[in-house]
Amino acid sequence: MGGAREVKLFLRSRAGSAFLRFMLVCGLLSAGVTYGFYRLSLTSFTANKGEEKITALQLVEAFVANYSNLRSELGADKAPVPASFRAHSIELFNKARDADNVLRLRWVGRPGHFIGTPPTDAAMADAIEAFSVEADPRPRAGFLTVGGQQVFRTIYPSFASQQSCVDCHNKLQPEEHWQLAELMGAFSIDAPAGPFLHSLYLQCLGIGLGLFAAMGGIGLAISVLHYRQLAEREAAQGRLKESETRFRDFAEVSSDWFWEQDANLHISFVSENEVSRNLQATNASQLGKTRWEIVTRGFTEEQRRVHQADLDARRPFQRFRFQRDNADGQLRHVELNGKPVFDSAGRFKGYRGTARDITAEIANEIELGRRVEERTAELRLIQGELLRKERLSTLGQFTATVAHELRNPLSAIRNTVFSIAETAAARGLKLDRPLARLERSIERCDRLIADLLEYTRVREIQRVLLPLDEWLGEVLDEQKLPESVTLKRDFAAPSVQVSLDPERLRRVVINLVDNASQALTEVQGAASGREPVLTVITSAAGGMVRLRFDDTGPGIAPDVLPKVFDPLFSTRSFGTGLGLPTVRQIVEQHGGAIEIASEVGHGTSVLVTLPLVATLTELTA
Amino acid sequence: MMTGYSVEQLVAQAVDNGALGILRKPFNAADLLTAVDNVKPRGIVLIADDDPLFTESIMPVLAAHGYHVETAGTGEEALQKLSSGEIDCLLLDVRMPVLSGIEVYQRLREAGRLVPTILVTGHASDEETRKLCPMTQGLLIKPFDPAALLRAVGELSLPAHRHPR
Repeated sequence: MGGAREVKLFLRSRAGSAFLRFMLVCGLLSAGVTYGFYRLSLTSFTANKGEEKITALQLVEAFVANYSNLRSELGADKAPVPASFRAHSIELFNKARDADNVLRLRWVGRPGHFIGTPPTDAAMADAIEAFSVEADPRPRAGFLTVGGQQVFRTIYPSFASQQSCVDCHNKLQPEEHWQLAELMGAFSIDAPAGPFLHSLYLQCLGIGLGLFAAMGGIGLAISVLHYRQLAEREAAQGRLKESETRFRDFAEVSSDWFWEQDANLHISFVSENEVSRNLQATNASQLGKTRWEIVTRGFTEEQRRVHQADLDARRPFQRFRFQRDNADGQLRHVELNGKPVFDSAGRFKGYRGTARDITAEIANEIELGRRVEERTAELRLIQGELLRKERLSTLGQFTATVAHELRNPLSAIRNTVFSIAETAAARGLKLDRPLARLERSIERCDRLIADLLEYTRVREIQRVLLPLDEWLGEVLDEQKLPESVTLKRDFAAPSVQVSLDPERLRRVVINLVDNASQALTEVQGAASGREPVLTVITSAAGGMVRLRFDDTGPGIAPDVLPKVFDPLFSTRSFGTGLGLPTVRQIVEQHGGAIEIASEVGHGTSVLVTLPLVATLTELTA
Repeated sequence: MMTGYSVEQLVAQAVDNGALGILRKPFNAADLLTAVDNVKPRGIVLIADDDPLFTESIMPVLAAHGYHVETAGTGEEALQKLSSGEIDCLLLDVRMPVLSGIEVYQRLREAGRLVPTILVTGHASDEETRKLCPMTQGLLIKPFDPAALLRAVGELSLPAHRHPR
């Protein structure tokens, strides 16, 4: 223990105050013991001295009595009086004593009565005076200081015990008449007490201090040990408390929470914070239950088996996931990590670990997966589109070259046919029919070239905002339909503006009307008995416009229907098989879709759906 | 020129020899007058096209309708013939090797020697042709109807020319 501060701390502690109380008791005890010793020593001293004095006194009295008797019997009036004998005896006695163990014996007469020696001091005189008034005077003893020295004095009353002695006195001192048993004076015996008392004081001091020091030392040692133990315990408790507070703080502010299971895998603790409370994980009803009693979903049978195997083998486990509802009834995903706990003897005590609400992460994962999938699909689509464009671009260049090369000789043929026709007319030659055949063949070739160019032509569409119904009406007006065919219009998208490439979409209308016309004229004269009608219908809804071309033609056979959009597929001997593929290409370029439905004997319906504005896919393509 | 040979031969020879009119025997005075009227050249048309088959096939059509026809197989040749200042109308193929029809037209414009021009092409969707088209007097897509060419040239109302030779 070092430093005044620590001493102060010690004294203020419980151990310190106990020590102080102990020291007080020690002091009292030491004082008591010392006082007892002192009293005992003093009693022993006075008893010893008293005995010695009485012996001396009895001897002196015996000699004086004997002397007095002898003097009276012999009638030796000339012999010294007994008092003088006694004085000499006492003087001789005093001389016989050694210096160390001296007893100063005196006989003093009653003051005021001329006999013997007067009292040597006031205390002695007072004592004798007291004896004279007491009925039955008793010897008295006490310590006092005489001539600067401490002495133990005993005073005995001295009475006139013998008639001879009284007579002797009365004879010598007739004016002062005595009677038998009258107080004459007193014996005073002083035993030196200075050295004894000095040594007794020293001994008492030694015993008192020694006892106090010994007991105090032991008490101090015990108290210090106690104090240190207490301080250590307090420090340990403080650390524990701090650790607990820290843990609670962490648990409170963390988004994770903590749990414990006992050796039977019953849940024994769940830390509280907003998340765990919200997930009802801290409900008291859950304590004492096993995991499977409160966790029932969000994992596969295999995951459950693996987790149980970890628990059985007392292995740490990670990322065990499950689902549960929170206080608001929303489904939440939870993830657990845990490790087994063993005591110092290696016995399994249970599990403890963390829990986390991973709903947001799961949602993110799902969202990410969905976006990746979506993006992949988009990219695949774009890639396909690019490939198709590239293929068409190559084909387009090739076709353009061939077309140009073909158109030159075709043009030469046409010019020549024209010249021949003129000449034949001038000459009156009947060449009309072969020349018309030639002309038709040229036109077919020309149309084939035009179709090919149209299909393989790759260029960005140039959108213009147009009123659909109005624009469609104008395009239909330009079409030359066979006379037998009736065109009906059922427009239901007035004032709907559509963003489209009019030139390209015009091709769509032309091709579809052309197809319908062909189908309707094919059936003409057949046994269908139905009017050849082409109905063009428009409607708008949900950001899309729909154009429908319904004909009452013979319909398309089910085995043929899936192939109608294949390039170069044609049911007509003179068809190029590029009409519908071109239509679909243009519609898809607009971000739209085309569907065809047909029933043999009832007719065909082509539905073109177009977005009102450009779509995202089209913009990124 | 009167003959009893076959139509084909007649046409070919007439074109080759620069005949301005053909009268079929037997003919009457009215036919002769018409022929004579037709023989008067209605203008000189320069056909600039690198395809000789096309040039040869259109020459008799124009010639039969009273036009004198000059030909050029390349852009340079066309410019050279145009520099004489006698050409009334230019039938210009857009795509020709080395010096294209478009370049020929631009040079003429830069030189301030433009003549009424009708563009001829096999590429309907050619961007440059589309740009040039509004400035010219017409565009014909091969294989065009020769009657359409005759209408287009006729609408130009070219000055009746002296015979160039």
